[in-house]
Amino acid sequence: MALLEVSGLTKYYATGRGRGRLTAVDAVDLEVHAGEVVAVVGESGSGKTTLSRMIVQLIAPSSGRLVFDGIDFARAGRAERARLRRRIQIIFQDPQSSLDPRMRLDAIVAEGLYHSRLSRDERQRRSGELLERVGLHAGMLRNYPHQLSGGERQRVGIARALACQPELLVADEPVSALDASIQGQVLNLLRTIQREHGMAMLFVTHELPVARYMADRIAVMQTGRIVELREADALFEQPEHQYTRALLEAMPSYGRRGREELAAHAERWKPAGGAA
Amino acid sequence: MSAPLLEVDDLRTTVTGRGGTVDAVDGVSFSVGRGEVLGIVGESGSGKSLALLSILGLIADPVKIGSGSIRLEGRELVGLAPREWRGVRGAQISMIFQEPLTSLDSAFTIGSQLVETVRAHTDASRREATDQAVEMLERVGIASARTRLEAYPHEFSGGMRQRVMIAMALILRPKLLLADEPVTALDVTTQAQILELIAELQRDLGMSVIFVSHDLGVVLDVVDRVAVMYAGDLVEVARADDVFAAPAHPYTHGLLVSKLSLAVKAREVAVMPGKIPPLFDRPRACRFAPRCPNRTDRCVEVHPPLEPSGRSGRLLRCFNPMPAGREA
Repeated sequence: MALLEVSGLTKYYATGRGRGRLTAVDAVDLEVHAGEVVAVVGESGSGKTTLSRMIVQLIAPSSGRLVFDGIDFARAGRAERARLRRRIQIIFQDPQSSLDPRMRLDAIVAEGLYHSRLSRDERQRRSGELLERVGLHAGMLRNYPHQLSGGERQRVGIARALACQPELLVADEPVSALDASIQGQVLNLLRTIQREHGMAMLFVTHELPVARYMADRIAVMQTGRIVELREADALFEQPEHQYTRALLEAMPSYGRRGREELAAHAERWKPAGGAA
Repeated sequence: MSAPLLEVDDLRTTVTGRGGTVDAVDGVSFSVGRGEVLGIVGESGSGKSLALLSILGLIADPVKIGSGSIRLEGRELVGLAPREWRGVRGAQISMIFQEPLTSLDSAFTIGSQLVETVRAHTDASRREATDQAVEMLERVGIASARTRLEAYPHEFSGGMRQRVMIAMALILRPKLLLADEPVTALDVTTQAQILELIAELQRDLGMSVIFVSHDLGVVLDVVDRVAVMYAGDLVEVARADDVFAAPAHPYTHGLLVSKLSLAVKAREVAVMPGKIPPLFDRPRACRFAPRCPNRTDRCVEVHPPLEPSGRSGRLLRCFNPMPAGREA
């Protein structure tokens, strides 16, 4: 049994005084197994963010079913839904607007620990551990978000999500707002943490290369529907849907160079003790 | 070679804040030839956007040009009076921005914005200006251009809006186009179309372009030469092919390798450790030293100069550059 089962999930919005209907997510079926990473790739308007927000209960579906570890969201009571919120955590694209600017880091991270019956001191110590886990030092606990760089803020977002020890982490474009030289750091951190905790992850991105790096399977979304869902490598090597092919062709080519030439070059430049 | 169109010489653009005054653009020199496309690559805080805005004189307190020279066809632009700028901006140098929605006026139709641009700079009649607007919109790929003149910016999609902004920037046929992250806010499939459009217009109109982006992969697709900026310094200037074949500065190398390893196979992504130094707390010597795999004592004591390196006119600011590939 899959950890998360999404079936026929649909979200539509009424438009034009209720006469029209805009379908953001259209009958999506998707499974995420325990410990598995599934990437959802799409452009703006594809519905990938709406899908991820329904999974973390920030948006209510119009129809369809969401089942997590055998629990149907729609039938779960209040307490059960609150528990689901802890078991499924999310990190957002913009680490600036997703951290409360008036809270110190220790308070931000410790919020996820309130349900844990830990004492105040234990919560504080655990917050420090979590910050160290994501590559920040515990001495930063008394800092405010504005004192951090974008990459550091995203690390705080990750620490906050980890505080609940989630079984599923939804990551919605977690590196898109970060500088190029910082993106790799955060991707590697997420991958390491995912493996160590054996946590499942739904990784939402508009970049196919990032999806391939992070995920076991990739779902390509276009106008609310999943048009292709396959093993990450297979999707790259034999894309079946024409939209997947269009996305692959639109990837930067570093001066109109073919994929083989790029691959050979990357091999040649593989960190030789240098930029690893 | 004929004289370059644009010559930037030892440009210092300063920012004054509570921490004092700092050179956000720190003595940057480069030139752009006629019909050349120059790429400037850098991350946030590298000074690339301030360099661009300095060229157009679009800076104001607390940002100032501290010293240096910016010459367009030999004419000094630093210190031009506001009245003199009017003949330069739009007419000779034009700019497109990352976010077209905030750069177009949402209260006016795109037709009126295009026509006003033409009429403010030339003595074209309203009818002539309208014809020029239609022609330019058709040129950037807006279907049924004449009817679309009546549309407001919000009625266009992101990609179409970027096309409108390009039309507006080029309607006076400037000699130099400054493009600041022109495709960053667009969807990937739209990005490719807009890059193609810019390249096509550049060839047809014979203009020069400075293309600024944080994405080296995108930049290499469209430019002849690349200038890499880090924390206010130019660290490497070289032909695009040379940068791809053998990035010499460890920062350029890191940028290329981390993105490339992700783009092709990606079992491991090469990572640059550390972070970009804050504006008011930059290392005194080499600014990349704290993150650099090749760092030696000298790098933290002496600020390396930007010097010619090898053949093919490469400029490099580094004491310990990367070897030219593992087996090369």
